[in-house]
Amino acid sequence: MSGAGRELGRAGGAEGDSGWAGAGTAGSGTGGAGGTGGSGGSDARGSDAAAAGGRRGEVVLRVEDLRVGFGRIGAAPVVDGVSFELTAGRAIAIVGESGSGKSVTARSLVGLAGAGSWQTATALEVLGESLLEEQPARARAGAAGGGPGRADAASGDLRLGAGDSGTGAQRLAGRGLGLSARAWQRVRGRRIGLVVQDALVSLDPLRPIGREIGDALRLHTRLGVGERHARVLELLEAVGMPEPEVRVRQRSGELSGGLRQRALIASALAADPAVLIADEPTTALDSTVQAQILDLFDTIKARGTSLLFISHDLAVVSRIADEVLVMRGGRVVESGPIDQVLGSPRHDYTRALLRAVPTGVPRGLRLAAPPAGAVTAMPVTTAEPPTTTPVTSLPTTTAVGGPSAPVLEVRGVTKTFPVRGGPRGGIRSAVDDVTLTLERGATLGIVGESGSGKTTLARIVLGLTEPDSGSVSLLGEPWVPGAEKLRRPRRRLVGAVYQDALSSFDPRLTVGQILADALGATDLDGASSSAHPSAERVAALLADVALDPALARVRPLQLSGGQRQRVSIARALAPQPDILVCDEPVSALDVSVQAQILDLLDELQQRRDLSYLFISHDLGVIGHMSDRVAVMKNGRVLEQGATADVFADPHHDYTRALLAAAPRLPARG
Amino acid sequence: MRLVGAVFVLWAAATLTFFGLRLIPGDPAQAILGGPGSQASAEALAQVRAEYGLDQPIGVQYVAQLGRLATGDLGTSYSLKSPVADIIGSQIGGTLLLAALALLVAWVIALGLAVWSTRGGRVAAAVGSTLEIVAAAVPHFWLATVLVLIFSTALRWFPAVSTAGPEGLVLPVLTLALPLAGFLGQVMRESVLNALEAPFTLSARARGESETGVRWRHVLRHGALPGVALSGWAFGWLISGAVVVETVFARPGLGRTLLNAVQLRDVPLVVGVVLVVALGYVLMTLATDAATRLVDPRARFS
Repeated sequence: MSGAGRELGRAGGAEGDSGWAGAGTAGSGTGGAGGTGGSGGSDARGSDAAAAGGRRGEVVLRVEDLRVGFGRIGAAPVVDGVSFELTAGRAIAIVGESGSGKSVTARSLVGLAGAGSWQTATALEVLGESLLEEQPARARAGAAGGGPGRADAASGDLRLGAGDSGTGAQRLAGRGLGLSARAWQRVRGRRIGLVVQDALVSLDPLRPIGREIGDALRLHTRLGVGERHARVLELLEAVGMPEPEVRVRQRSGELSGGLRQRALIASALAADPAVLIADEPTTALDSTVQAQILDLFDTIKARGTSLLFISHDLAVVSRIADEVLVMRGGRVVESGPIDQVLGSPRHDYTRALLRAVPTGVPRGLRLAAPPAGAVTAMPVTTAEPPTTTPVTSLPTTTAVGGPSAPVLEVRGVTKTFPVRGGPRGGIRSAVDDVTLTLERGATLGIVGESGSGKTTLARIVLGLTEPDSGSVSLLGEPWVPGAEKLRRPRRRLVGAVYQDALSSFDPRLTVGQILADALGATDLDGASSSAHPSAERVAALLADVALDPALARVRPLQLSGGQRQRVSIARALAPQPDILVCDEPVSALDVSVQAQILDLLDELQQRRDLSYLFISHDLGVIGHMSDRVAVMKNGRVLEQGATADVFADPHHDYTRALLAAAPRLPARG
Repeated sequence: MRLVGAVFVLWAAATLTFFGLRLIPGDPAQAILGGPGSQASAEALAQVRAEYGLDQPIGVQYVAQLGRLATGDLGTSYSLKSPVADIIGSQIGGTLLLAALALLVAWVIALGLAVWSTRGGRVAAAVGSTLEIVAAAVPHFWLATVLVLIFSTALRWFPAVSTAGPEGLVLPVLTLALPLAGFLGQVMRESVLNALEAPFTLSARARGESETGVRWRHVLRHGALPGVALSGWAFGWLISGAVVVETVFARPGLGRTLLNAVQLRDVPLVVGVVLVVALGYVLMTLATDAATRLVDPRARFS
């Protein structure tokens, strides 16, 4: 990597949109206004060399010393010197935490890094054609990368999106590499498809998915309306959409998350790009759906499309990628074949990421590096059971103790909601005859996918939703159903931690005020008499969750995701509860932050003899945290038992399916 | 359910108007006989009171009035001495045309301004939002006066007094449309901006859609949504604006009829006009709901 990336993408006029003729495309694509200019091939699947599946081994995407930043060119890049080569039919994964620059890298490859962005590179080529300069050059850069001569040719001050769209595009699309808006439009979707992050909201909710997918064909092919429709149906079929003829007319709001992701992938694949970039394509999905989508990517790869896969989840990546780039702070800290990087990671950060994956790590073992900085290595290469590997173990005192008094008993709880126009007579059972027991100092894990009723169950346990039938008792006394007046004195015994910590805070309050509020609530029951909880008690709470007491003066918006979740745990701990109900407490966090929060919860449980009702869709997290586990689907508990037993010998088909679908690191098997 | 709501709205409108007019000082019988200046004799007043049932207790009058309204009989105007239904029938066309044109023009201006000002960079955005705020804040009578001064007195493009031809409509329509456009534009700009930053427009750009295409195919509909939802409200607002505009431009219509009727304490005519406007408002709201469901499939599921 040469240090000096030359400057390519300064803003400026956008004239000189000299058509961009793709390799092997029939037409030069100079015609056509706006996005409607067809770029050639009469069929998306034509014999076009640009189409998917260049010869095996051929480099389809070459990136050398890519730098991307926001603001002044060259200053504080968020992507700093990324290089890689993607060959036909292979998959490269970029892994990193949020803020590592992985998504910006992906989006800059199609010139959509964002408002006010700049990009430089010594080489950026798709199918041998440079994305750096405004000409149909086919000259290969060769091993030497971008020579100085090419550098001059490309300094043509072009602003992305300015060509036919006015200056507003700058704010939206940013300043791209040296291609004009139109040239980029011909690259996007046609050469490089991008499945953007967050499938659930990435299709226009007002338009049928058929139109969304058909748009890519309208923009990049000369197919007529009828042909496009037929092709859209083929595409939907190809991505495994059930009943394509029905779905094609539906809008994204009518589709489940998995089907939306399939439709989005179909729209990215429609014009048959050689490279498909997928940015966190499985993150918002349930694990069984996630497994299906990963299967789909396998199929796409097998058909010859090269994949660039962006994810924070090493386990997901291990299933799909041939090579992996580990990014941190905008730089690639480690790269290589997937087996090598996951099997014998060389960089500390890679090792930390691998350690942080909770799947298969037994209870009481730390996931994150100990705060003291003690050097610990957890060789994930070994196929041995992790218990025998040297790891820092938390002091185990009560964790998996013998039978003790139940602190919480849920008996035959049922809750139904009316559904308008629903299939089953307008009634949906959110929770259906659920019986559970939570013992002191233990964790009961509840695992299920979206719609399984686990959150409704949590609300019933918290006394926020009245069940239709059944009861909950707390420390042997009736808790639900019952009058709120009777519950209120004992409310402090049950705390709650939610997934979205931020929205559970009043944004105008500081962390200190939030915690003081929570401490004040204990005074209502007369247990404590001080009207104003002292600053020391707030500081002690912050110390409990390993936060700097200085953060008491800060507002939640200024905190990171992990810090927010710590504050929300501190708030839950303030009234000294016996039980914490944790509803997806780590689902919105990066894997390394998740590891720290899970460690914290573990520690607190040991220190304070807390009992957890721990709800998650993530089997890895549940397996790591729980003494006992209950598997929920459609409101019912399908099976429950000791975590090790359920995981080792699942009795129900659904549990087996969940376990099979859960992505895991190969080394941990 | 909606029908019950609509009937309730109509009943409430009739009732409030009926009692509201009683609160105005003065004698209705006097009004029937041509106002306070007519020097009507005591016998004439008594005769009129008996004839119109004004000597009955107010509760009886109210029930009788409701009974007539329920059978569709709007009664006879005190001042014009002809059936209220006929008067409204002859006046409603002009007002509806005025309101419909104003709504249309407001829509076009608002959407155009919202889309233009969000693509023209920072200056355009500032200009756009300033224009919207000023337009939304301007009162009708002032705007009408200014428009007349510029386009009639100075430029002599359009008549100051409304005439039958299309040129007579221009200034009244603009007077009604501009403030509404300012208001709608503010709401639409917000949703245009949201749509431009939504993941689905990124998705469209990643597909190779041009900025024009993104706006035309995706953003426009999202921008228009709140405008559709507000159109029912806007209709009511336009009718109340028509009272001012029709008076300023001496244009025949429901608004001016209403103003005259209130001044003359012509109870049947006021109640009739109010009822018709309320009915129009109810129908417009229903139409708006239907249109929202048509444009936004999400509304069908919630």
